[in-house]
Amino acid sequence: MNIAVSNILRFVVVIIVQVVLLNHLHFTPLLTPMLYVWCLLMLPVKLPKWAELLIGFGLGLLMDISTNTLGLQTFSCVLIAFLRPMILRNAVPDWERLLASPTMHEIGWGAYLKTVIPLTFLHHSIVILMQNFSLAGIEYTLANIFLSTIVAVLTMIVCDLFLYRP
Amino acid sequence: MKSLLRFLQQYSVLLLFLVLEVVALYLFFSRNRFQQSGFLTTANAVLGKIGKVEAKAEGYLSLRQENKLLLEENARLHELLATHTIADTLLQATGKTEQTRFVAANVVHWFHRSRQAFLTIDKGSADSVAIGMGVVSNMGIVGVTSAVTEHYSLVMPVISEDFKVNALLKKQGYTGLLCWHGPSEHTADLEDVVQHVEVEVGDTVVTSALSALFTEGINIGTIESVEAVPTEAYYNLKVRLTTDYRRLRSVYVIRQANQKEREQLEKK
Repeated sequence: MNIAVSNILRFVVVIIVQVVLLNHLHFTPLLTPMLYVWCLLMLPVKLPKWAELLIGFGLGLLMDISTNTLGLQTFSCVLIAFLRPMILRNAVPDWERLLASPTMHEIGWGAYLKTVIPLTFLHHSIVILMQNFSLAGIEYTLANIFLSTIVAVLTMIVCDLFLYRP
Repeated sequence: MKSLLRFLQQYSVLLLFLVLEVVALYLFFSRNRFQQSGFLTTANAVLGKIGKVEAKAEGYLSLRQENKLLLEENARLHELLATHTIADTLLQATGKTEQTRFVAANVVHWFHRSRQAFLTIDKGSADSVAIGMGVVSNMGIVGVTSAVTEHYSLVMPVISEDFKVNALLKKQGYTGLLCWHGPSEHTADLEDVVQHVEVEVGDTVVTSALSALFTEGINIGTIESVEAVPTEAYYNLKVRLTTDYRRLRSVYVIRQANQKEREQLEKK
């Protein structure tokens, strides 16, 4: 599939799943996975950095509007978009050969986990810490961060393995 | 000039990054202002409509439960009507009192994440809903409107840290301050109740007449635990809330009689 089309499709589907389903998880308030980070992580490697930043800003703003938490996810998304090229280039020494998205099949599971886990964890930490904004109930905050990160990363891996088979 | 241009070119990505982050932080720290304008929130006309479609689909799945609740409420209202008819005719005869009105609304969007919760309802300024009006349901107290657009409003529920309301221990007749510090969405704290008052587990907590937002006697919850630290003057009381936010579908916005007048007076 065309690189642009597949990326746009990914954005649309993931945003709908996030807003309609994941934002309403009913089991516990400690589980707030933010799957939409996956869209930022899977942007084409050769995308200009400024475009990546703007996409991060737009996606974060959209998510913030859907949850009435203006600025929160925007801040975190822009940071992730800024850091991703550096972390990706560090994890994949021969990144210049990559044409499209850094999927697990393209870059291998080691490099994949090395980029996905730190960035997802950072994103969840910033959003949840900034939202709670106090050290009161820090154990809940930490549980919230870890649980949500684990669920988000596992979901990303499952989607990746399912969608981008060799 | 040339070197400045070269500098900008070299660091353009970094500059863009910093600008975007500053914008995000600005939005974050002035969020109350943006929320009150209804701009860029789910009280917005477009997003409200999306929420409405979502709520409709969800509503079908819980029709049976909803029906039962409405029937129960109907029965209670019939009872109330019987007792109030006489009083009302008397009031109308004098003709000068503005009456408290209830605006019925549906919850179209519900968002809850560890310490922040919001409801969007489908009534706004077109139905004379304004910022700072109390919201209740047949289960009990819900929250207060915090942003209003023409057809939608944003409600800050009891289970958010910025919400505080005066509450009354029904049996004892003492008032306290109802706050929420999380993380459970079923319990809140009742503060400022002095320890010489005898409080038991199971006592009923309702809204008090001291609050300008709510009519007196609306259910808040029951006392779940009583903790009396000997060195302190006040109890640590946990209140089990009667409202289950997950099941909330229809609510009422309270337009208090003469609310503006009262607020102006109390501001002075």
